[in-house]
Amino acid sequence: MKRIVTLAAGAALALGAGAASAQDYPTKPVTWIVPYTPGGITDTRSRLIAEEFGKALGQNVVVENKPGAGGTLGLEYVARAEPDGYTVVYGTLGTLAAAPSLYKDLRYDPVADFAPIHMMAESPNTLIAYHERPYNTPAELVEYAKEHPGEVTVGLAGIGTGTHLASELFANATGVELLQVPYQGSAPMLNDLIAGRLDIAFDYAVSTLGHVQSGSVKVLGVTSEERLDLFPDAMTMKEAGIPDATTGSWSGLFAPAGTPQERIDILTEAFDAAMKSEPVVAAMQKVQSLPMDMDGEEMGNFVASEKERWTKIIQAAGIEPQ
Amino acid sequence: MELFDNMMLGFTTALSWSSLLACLIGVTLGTFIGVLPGVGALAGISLLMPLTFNQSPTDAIVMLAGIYYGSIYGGSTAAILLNLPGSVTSAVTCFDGYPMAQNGQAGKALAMTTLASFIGGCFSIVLMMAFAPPLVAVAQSFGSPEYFSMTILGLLAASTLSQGSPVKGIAMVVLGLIVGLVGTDIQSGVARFTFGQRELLDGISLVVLAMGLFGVSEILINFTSLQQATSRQKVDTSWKAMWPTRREWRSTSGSMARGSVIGAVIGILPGAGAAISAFIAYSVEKRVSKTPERFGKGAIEGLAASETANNSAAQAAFIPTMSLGIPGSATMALLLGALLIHGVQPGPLVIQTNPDLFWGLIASFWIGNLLLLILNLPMIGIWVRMLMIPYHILYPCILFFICLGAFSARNNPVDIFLVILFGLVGYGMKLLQLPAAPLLLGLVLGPMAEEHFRRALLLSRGDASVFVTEPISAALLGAAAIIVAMSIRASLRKRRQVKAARQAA
Repeated sequence: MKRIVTLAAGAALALGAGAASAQDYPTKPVTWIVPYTPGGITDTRSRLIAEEFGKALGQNVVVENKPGAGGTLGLEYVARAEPDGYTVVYGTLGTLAAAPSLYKDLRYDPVADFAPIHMMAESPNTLIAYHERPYNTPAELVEYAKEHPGEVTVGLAGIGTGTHLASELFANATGVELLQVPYQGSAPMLNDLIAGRLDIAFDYAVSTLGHVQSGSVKVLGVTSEERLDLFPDAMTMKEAGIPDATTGSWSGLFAPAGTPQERIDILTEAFDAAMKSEPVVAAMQKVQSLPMDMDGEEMGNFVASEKERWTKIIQAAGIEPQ
Repeated sequence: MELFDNMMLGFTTALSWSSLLACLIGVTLGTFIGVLPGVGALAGISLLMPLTFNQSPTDAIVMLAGIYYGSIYGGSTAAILLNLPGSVTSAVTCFDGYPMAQNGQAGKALAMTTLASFIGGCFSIVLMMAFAPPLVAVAQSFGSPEYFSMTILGLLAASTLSQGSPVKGIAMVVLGLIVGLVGTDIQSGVARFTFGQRELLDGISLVVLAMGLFGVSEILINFTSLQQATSRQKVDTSWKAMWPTRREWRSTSGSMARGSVIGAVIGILPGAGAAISAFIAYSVEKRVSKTPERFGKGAIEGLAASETANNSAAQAAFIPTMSLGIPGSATMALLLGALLIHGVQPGPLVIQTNPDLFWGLIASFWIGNLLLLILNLPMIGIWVRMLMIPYHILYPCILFFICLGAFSARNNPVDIFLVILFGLVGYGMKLLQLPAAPLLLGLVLGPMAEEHFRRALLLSRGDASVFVTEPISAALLGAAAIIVAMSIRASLRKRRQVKAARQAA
């Protein structure tokens, strides 16, 4: 297989890269590994983008789920896959920036083993609270939590998830002591929050919206750079005087390292077109994800800096790698 | 007349041509997906979801929901005929369904399943139409102490699931609890009993365990006694042999009523789910039966109760999913994802903002259940003929599908090795006459019990009295105490009788 790739790459070079590779690649469907279980917004969004991605690429893009161990099993699989441009993977803050400090025996290097194709989106977190709690802004929460150390309960949708990291970041930036209550996924966590059994949680705009509309939950703040259209009254962490708590779960498309650059370029171009297509733009809007227009070296540097940043945060929080 | 208005709105939506077609496609595909061992609703829905991107939100959700409950129904077919639980819910169907098939009553078991599913579904639908909003409030009042007490009740009820030696039954429940410990601890993120295998971080899949313990071990048992059984007995596929007799109707009517109620009650609790409802309905049935010794050997009441319960729960599970926006299972999460893509925001307001979608979906359940009945009664004869395929052809095919099913859940080859390993374990258990059912229940309830126990104490700051000061939790624990007291009394009375008999002799 490797030899064929080399031959194909050689032939492409000989014939003048642009024109030849457009014909040589892609000649068969591209497999898009989603390292999570089917269902949930990640998988649904991937399937939607995959359709447009395939149209732009002139080949089908097949979404395959390889869940397990917080998404790291799927990344491991792709890191070892043939770098021929026919396998790509959905990489995230969790699997590429946080996983190295959360898992002891991770069998991939987030920076060295993957070639960046194109960023997908950033999903900012919402800081939400049960509607009867006495605080209405991040600053009021911090003040209350400082007066009542260890009393405010914060729900976590799972150890090592984006929302867990956001709450560690918040605690780290403000120095407050919160009582962490872990859940298996965000659904049971929200169920306890809307019933008032839990005080606060970090969540995503899309799943928060319904509960805010019904009045059982209020948004204290958002972790994005700018305010969100959905919750115009919720201030950003920066406005609240906690700029270090600014974050958001990002995602992007990656190929195994060693994939020929011409093929990466073809994938990048097609993915860029898919992200700008009407159905994807509309869907992103609906699920309140902010598309990220970033690729190439810039994207590689971004991933490397995020990995460094989160390694520090996780170590500061005292989370032991498993 | 709110109920009537809701129903009218629902049926006008669900009876449109596009919705009817979506419903028909959904339940038909769902049935076939369910029959394939291991390929559950989750895989089916995720594969077919892109098809719905161009439909209206109502048609999309009607079709996806049809796949969901159609596959739960279809799962029973494989469970009855081949002892292969295709989904978690149908594990309980195996207990009495497969023995019935072995007694030459496969057709009757399938007919009973079809009818019981229909009745369970209908009950739940009526309940939803009449009481959806108050039911939501009940579901919301369940916190960690309540869930913990419910699992304790379930585990105690499980002690009745075993036949023969109670010690063996308890041992198997404990083994199930231990198997349930494998994986990442939810509270701390610590990996437990994974032996450095990252593939085990998510724990052991119940479907993989059930397919191994029931399906693979069944094949192994039959391989070792292959000489005497190269092909199975002739099966009678005449209508008369399949349709339940009047006596069977009478004996199962109570079972179906209890199963419907249990299914609906447990189904509305997010996170409890259809599987537990089937387990509990089955245990209750065994408790109230005058002839509990027949259970596990082909008791039609056990089959009827678990089937009504799992179907009733499957439909009721839509209440928290749709009206709270809280999915009770991965499949429900997938349906929510589909709704979001269509721009429908699930949550407490969905009944007001999208009444046609909500009531249309519920009306479509009824139509879907009716379609399942019409489609499947004539199909039973065809399914049953599958049993006439000689073993040397049938078994390799089944093994192939088991491996495929185990693999397809996570696309991970480790699951294939696990299913074969559990097959060998199940074979050993059969030789030692250890019951597999309590092990399964231990695996289902154990992790839940632990998770909720620890969270309840975390939220109460270590005060264990929450379990008895919360009224619902206290009531559930009270019921558990009554079960224990009854068992002790029964065994004491038995001992006294034995003593008296000995003295008399």
